[in-house]
Amino acid sequence: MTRRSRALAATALIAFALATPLGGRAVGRACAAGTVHIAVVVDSGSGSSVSAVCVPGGSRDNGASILAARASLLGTPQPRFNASGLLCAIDGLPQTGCGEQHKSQYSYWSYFHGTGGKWSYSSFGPGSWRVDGATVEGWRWQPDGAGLPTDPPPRGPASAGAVCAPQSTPTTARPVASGTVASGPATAGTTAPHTGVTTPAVTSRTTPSDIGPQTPGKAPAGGTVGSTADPTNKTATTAGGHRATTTGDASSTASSTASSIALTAGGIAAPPAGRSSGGAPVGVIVGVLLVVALGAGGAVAARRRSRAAA
Amino acid sequence: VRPRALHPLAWWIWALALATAALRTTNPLLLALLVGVAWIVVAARRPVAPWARTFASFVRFGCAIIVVRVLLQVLFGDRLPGHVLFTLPSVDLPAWAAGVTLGGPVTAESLVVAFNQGLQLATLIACVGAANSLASPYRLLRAIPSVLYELGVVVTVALSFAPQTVVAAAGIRDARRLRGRPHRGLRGMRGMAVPVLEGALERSLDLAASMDSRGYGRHGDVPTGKRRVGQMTTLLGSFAIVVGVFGVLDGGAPFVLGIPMLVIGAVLLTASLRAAKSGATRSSYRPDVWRIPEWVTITAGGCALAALVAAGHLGVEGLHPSYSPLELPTLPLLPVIGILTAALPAFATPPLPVELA
Repeated sequence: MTRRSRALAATALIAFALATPLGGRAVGRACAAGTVHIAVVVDSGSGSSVSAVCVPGGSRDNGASILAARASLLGTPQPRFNASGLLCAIDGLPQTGCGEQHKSQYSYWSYFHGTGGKWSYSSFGPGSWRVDGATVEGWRWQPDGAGLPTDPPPRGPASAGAVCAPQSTPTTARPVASGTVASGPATAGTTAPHTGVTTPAVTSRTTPSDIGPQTPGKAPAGGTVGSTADPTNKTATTAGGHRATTTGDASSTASSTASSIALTAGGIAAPPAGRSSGGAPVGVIVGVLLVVALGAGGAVAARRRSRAAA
Repeated sequence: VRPRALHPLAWWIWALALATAALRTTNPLLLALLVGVAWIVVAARRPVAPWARTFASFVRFGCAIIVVRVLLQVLFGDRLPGHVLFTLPSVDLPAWAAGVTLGGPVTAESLVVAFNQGLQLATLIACVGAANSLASPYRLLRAIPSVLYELGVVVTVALSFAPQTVVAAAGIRDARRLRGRPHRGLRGMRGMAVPVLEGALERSLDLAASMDSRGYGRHGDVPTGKRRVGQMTTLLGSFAIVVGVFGVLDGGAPFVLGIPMLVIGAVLLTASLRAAKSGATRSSYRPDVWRIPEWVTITAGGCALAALVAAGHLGVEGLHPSYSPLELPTLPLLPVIGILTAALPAFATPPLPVELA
């Protein structure tokens, strides 16, 4: 064993000693820790729904892992990131692309932090922001954003207490959270807690039986709390009552769209199973074979030339 | 085919086309193919010369870059959700360093991203190393148009620095080994640094003296003002071409920086070169010829670049493998064909003359 390989082995040993093998997804760990509750507001842009959810997390979670935990909680697609760590999609919106630029505008998910009813544009990425229970994690889809703090904040409550009502730690057997937000047109988000959102705490105590047939009703402009929905728009996963999502018809009630994301008993949906690569990875095999062939060809060429020279 | 050395400019254009192609993808299979193509051409057409042994050094340097990139990702990477491989103890940094993470869970996704990005840079460096091995820096100097002669001298001296340093370092290491001094690891490095730098300084002084004595830097009878204008036009033209190339290659750049800039640059450059040719006082001894093999070489390199650029514009899947969810890289057909075409110079160029083979 040469000195270099000894040094390598020692480095590897130290690295493994420091490392705590943990297996499994970070999301699962975060849910299990469950020491703090983080309010997460996701606003999919004007004319669509706002979801405010209370996500149980650990003290070492960051904004990105809380988003992933929220997706597991709601059973929505996991957040998508690009290679440089930019958040591309929440709940599968948008389907493709990442912070696409058109002219000087960007379509992107803006990141806000809400404390005491005020939103502030985050100067951190979600991966390097450590969450705390007093700060709301706010996300708003900007179809034509400037990429500046002047972009409109989420239309949701900017105080953690309005989403995560102080209550006993919810267990997975009862509804964890249900934020039902109906807000007016994108007003300055700081007023939202008083106008648009009044009783998330109430809905978060909704029992499974309450979530049955929704009372159709018109949400007045300015918004009220409640699940207002065109029955045709309702998408509900019935089996086990995992979730019922109702999305207001954006065109008919453009000023006040209401949606509800409700979780019922046993409502923690399993995270969507990872896409299997499906069959033998032909591309990889062919690619590796090609690279090996090129390398061997080069070696043969070099060998032949050195023999000819000798 | 009569044996001869290929025009050095052809090798450089071919290699830079491959390097630019590497910038258009992070697919590890395509990047590995690019390195493989560079290797097979180097193995087949590298002359026996001091500068020709640098390819391996460049590849080693590339490997070091990959290792450093992955290590940095493990220590300071962004903590995004994914498949956690292991968790390093993490430290909460003070407020002034907020935004920087140290330690924490290391996901498979982040390691794959770091490896691919490191591999991209390593491929770039391997391509430049291939050009360094294949093309003689001295012949490259002679191929520089006369109007840019002084600039060309500077650039060529700078380019030949790396291979000469490798040779000098090998010599010094051999000498230290023969004398029983440490020649490996950190201690060897410490002992070698000063002699290597000393040798480099000495060589550049020698070079300056010999160039001076051979009449480099002679201007001829062209008036100073006209010469200056010519140089400025050439520089502006080259600058416009560089900006234009950037504009064409970067999808997000405004249109004005693309094709229009390229055209302006080409016009300026042609005008200045034509003007310089009419007043040229310097003749070259047995100039390198530019024939069909040179065209084949740069076309082969251009094929790889064009295939990747076209694939990017056509939206061919697989140029940038998905990290969330983590997927195996695929092998898109169009870029593969383009890249494999770039291996053509290994067969289609004339063999090297006996004294270089």
